[in-house]
Amino acid sequence: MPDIRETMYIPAKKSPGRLEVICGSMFSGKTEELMRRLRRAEFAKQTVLTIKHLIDARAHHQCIVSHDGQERSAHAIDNTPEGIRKILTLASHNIDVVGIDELQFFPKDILPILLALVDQGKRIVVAGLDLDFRGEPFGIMPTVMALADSVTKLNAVCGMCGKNSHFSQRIVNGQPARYEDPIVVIGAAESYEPRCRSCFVIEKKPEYKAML
Amino acid sequence: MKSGKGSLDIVVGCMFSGKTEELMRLIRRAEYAKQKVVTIKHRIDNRVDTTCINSHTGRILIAAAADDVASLRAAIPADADVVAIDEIQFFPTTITEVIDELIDRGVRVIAAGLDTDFRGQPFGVMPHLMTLADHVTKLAAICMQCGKDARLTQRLVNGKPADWHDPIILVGAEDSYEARCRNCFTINKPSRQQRANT
Repeated sequence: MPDIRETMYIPAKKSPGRLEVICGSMFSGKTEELMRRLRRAEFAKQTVLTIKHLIDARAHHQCIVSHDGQERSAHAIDNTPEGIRKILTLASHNIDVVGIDELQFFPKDILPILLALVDQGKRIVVAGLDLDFRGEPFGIMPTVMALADSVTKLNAVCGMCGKNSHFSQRIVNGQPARYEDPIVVIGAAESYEPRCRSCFVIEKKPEYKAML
Repeated sequence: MKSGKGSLDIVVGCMFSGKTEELMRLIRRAEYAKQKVVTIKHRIDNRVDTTCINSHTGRILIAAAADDVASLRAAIPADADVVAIDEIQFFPTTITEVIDELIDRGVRVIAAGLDTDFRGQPFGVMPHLMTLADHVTKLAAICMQCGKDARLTQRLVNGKPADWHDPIILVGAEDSYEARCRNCFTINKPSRQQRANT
């Protein structure tokens, strides 16, 4: 069946676009929620573009995979200026919805791209970690949350006490990671655990003054 | 009540989205449960007569000047269960330290503030607070031009959109504000080139 949208498409300037943020700790179901929203759009015959960061090597390069094993094919984008600009090309005129997973890994150069797509009337749904393993704001996530139309914060279950958690505890050889450790280390259950505020442990308290 | 750590709930949105009403609802809810609530408001906001923070007990507490986080600390008694802060975007970034201390003490902090300024840019400490929060509620107003959902605050000076280079904080000056959607929002944002040159 020919795609009716090819000939019927009307540039969506009439209604403003939307920027939706899904955030939370690891194992809070961010990627599943992103996939759910994208699938919902596809049921309505909207065209969806899915993007992931190339850094996330847990999965096959052409897919985003949630921890429960759901898969969805995605374009892997790297941090170079060319890579970021490629999003604009990929999200050409007939794309209605753009989904981006692991947004926290992208540099701030992606912000004007996201806003440009919103100005074109597209719906942008992004998922990412709001806090790093030290419990501090992660990269561009704070800015994106301020600029967004909607922010959904998801909770995981604390691996220690079972309460709602919103921190990602990094564990190295069974011990909480050190404050000076690098921010980005890709892993899964063997190296990260969701923790609530009471059970979250970081060796050194963050120096907010130095950070801000 | 005071077992374990506290929490941070934050209510954000543009002007006219009902942030303060939502904060007052949360305050009243805590008061029904006989919790000790301390309400704090930034002194810069001198519109007290028209939009004062006013819970049903009529308790109003004005915090000291923005550059002095110590006065905010001093305003919070040791036995407070809930600390409610309105217009939190006016406070300096060091407020995150105070909030951290309060959460460690087991206090539930609820705060309301503007997520973006009149230029549509993130407002001060707000992005940081949104990541630290347990819950983020984003409210929308209605666009005063077209009636769609609005999430931006349009500043008007003599009926015209304000200039990008105007100061960010201007309370009670010769200007007015409107809630606007992304389509109706107008700002003369300089290009990246122009910003690099200035």
